[in-house]
Amino acid sequence: MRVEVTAEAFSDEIRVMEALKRNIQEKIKQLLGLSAKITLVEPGSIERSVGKAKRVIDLRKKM
Amino acid sequence: MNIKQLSVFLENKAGRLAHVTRILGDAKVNLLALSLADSSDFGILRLIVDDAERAQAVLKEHQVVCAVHDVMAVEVDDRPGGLADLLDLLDKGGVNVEYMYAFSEKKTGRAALIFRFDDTAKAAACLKQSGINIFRKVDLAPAGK
Repeated sequence: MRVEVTAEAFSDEIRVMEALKRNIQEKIKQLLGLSAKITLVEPGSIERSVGKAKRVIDLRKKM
Repeated sequence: MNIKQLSVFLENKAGRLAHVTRILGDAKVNLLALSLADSSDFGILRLIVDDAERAQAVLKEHQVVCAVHDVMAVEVDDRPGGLADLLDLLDKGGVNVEYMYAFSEKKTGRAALIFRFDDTAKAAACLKQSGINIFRKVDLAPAGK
């Protein structure tokens, strides 16, 4: 799971950032019961969905 | 006695360091000293620049996650054991080093260390008591220059 880091959550110490990762991991485990590998990424690096969710893919040949 | 350090969050992806240094370069921010700490998926770039507040503002404009913190620049004897003596002193004073990196002072050519301590006030008192020079202003250049 990729998590974007905000300025508020950022620390200049590696151990604090690693603790943040562990904290997110534990919260997800508590909420969903799932173990997730957390990767911290820069803001805006996770692709945002545009428009409606695409649930049907039309594979018919175009006339 | 504290000096400002700019810290930048970097995703572990090709070109991120170049991106940040290019933004600073285009803004005419000069890098005086730096250290790059890395983990498995991210890095933290620590910089001493000529204007930390302006550098922070420029990076924020480009959505780069960064912060400015106080660190201490300490003079160390440029001889074998110089660093060990300094660290012994801090250890005896009960001061813990969060991280550090070394550079040489531009004007005097003397060895300097940038420190982040768990207790800055305690560290300053310990160093002052032992007559260790703490730089008030940083005028640093990478070693060898």
